[in-house]
Amino acid sequence: MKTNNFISVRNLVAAIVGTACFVCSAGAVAAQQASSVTRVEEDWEMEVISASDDLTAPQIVMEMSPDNSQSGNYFTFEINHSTLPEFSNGGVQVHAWINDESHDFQNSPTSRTLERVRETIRWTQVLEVQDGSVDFSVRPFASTSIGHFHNDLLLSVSMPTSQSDLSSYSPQHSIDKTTVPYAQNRVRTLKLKNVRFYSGSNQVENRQVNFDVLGQ
Amino acid sequence: MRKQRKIDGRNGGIVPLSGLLMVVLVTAVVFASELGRIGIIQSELQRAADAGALAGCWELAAKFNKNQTATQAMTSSRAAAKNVVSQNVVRKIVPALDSNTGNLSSGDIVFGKFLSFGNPSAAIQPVTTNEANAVSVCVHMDNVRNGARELGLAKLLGFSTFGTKAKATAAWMREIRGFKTPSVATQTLPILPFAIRKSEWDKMLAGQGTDTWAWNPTTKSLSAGSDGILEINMFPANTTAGNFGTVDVGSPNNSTNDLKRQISSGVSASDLAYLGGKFELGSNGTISLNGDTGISAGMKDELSQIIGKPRVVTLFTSVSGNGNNAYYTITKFVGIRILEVKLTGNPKRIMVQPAIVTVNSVIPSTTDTSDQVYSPVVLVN
Repeated sequence: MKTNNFISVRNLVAAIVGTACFVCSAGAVAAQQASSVTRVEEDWEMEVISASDDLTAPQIVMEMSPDNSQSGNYFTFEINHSTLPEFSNGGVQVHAWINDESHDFQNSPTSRTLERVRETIRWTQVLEVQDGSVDFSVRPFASTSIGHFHNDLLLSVSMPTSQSDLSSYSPQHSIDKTTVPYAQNRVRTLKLKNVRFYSGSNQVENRQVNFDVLGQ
Repeated sequence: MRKQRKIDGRNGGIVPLSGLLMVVLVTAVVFASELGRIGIIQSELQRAADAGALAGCWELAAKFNKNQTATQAMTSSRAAAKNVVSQNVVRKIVPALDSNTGNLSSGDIVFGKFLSFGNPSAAIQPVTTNEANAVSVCVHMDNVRNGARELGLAKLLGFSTFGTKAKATAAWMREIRGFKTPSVATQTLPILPFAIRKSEWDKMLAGQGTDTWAWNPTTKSLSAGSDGILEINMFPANTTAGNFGTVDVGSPNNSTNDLKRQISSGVSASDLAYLGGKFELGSNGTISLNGDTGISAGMKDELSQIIGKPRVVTLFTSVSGNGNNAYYTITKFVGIRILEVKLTGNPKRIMVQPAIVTVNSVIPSTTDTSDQVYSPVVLVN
């Protein structure tokens, strides 16, 4: 009995220690996984029901931030118009902003406008940290009226960063900051479909979101 | 021998007749002279009253424009009316006005509400609040004030003095329900082709908003800081996308160039022609305009050009439809001033604050269909 009791106590202690180790281990793995996310990909889909080239409508502005824009650092992606250095009709443009000041921008190779047809446009916004820099790119972008841009026509801008990973990234920030400031009435849906998290080249999570930021 | 007619007996007949005619003539001359003099005095008094009413009313409107209290504005208005009246000398007399600080309807200077534009016999309703839109000035030249005038030759007829007074009322329209085509074809109306959701405007008036820009109405300049007037960001962000719109004031197929022209130069007669010559709320208090939600970032240059200048925008209560069939239900016209235009980055900003806009060719209203959109000051009676 005594021995059995001793064994029971020993087993109990072992179980507690084992559980504690597992919890600590799992926590450490989780922390390591979270902290090691170096690339995020957002898949977006927009359904345009009636564009107007006379008005350059609609105009869409997307945003992604490596740190929830805590520091005023973020990237924007303008569709069917561009605002730097001056406003232009059509095309797409990517920007890097540091403390709300323009750091860099790049235009699409064409400036065709959305046409008066129903079309569904799909694209992927990519945020990646590497070597003291955070890069933002759009690849691919597929629109029948504006054009198709793949890796060979990469839309990309970057800014320096002290971040070693994207643990501060939040898809909610992208949702909150995405807007159709002009002619939202001409857009039926604007959905964040999926968010993929990578550590190096390894995908560590694929989160299905399927959220319509226009709430329709 | 013919008998010669004796005419000597009629020699004195012309004398009484001449005397009578002389009396009539002198009386007529005296009356004509005095009536002329009275007419001149009356005319000069009326000129003084008109000038005083206009000056007082412009001053009242200007002080309201600078957000002064009714008491402050009316004090300035009284001073302006007195000053201008005193400069209109009547027969070497510098006319004076009583301040009528109690704003009695029988006083020399009366502030009030006047809504019956087009009815010259309508009276103003005395008020001492910032609802006032009219100033009535009465210039006496009688025993009440400034003294009765001595008559000249009329004394011969037993009349020694006479008294008179002249009254004028000036007012501006504070409630308008629309705009009509200006009488001069090349004139435009300072209306921006934008609409703000009425509930957002009302929230700002109720105290919700920022105050980061200061407009100096004296120097007509803008600086960072506070001026006590709240602001609203007219450029939509994600959560406010449905609260602002671009509307077609005129052709339902406005292009970007039409919108830019209207921002820079105003709404033209040809724009109004699409609306039957008038941009006016209907009998149900609304007008429906086609448009698109939000504001194009392509308007940056044109909007930047009119920073600080007062303009009219519309308020809407609902928007229906989608695609190119979005319709705004417009219920009100309001005056604004653009303070800041930043159409790069995210979020973008077009900051505006309420401002008084004076517009010719307005259509008056007797209900609450406008904020701070006024007609110029005019004499109403």
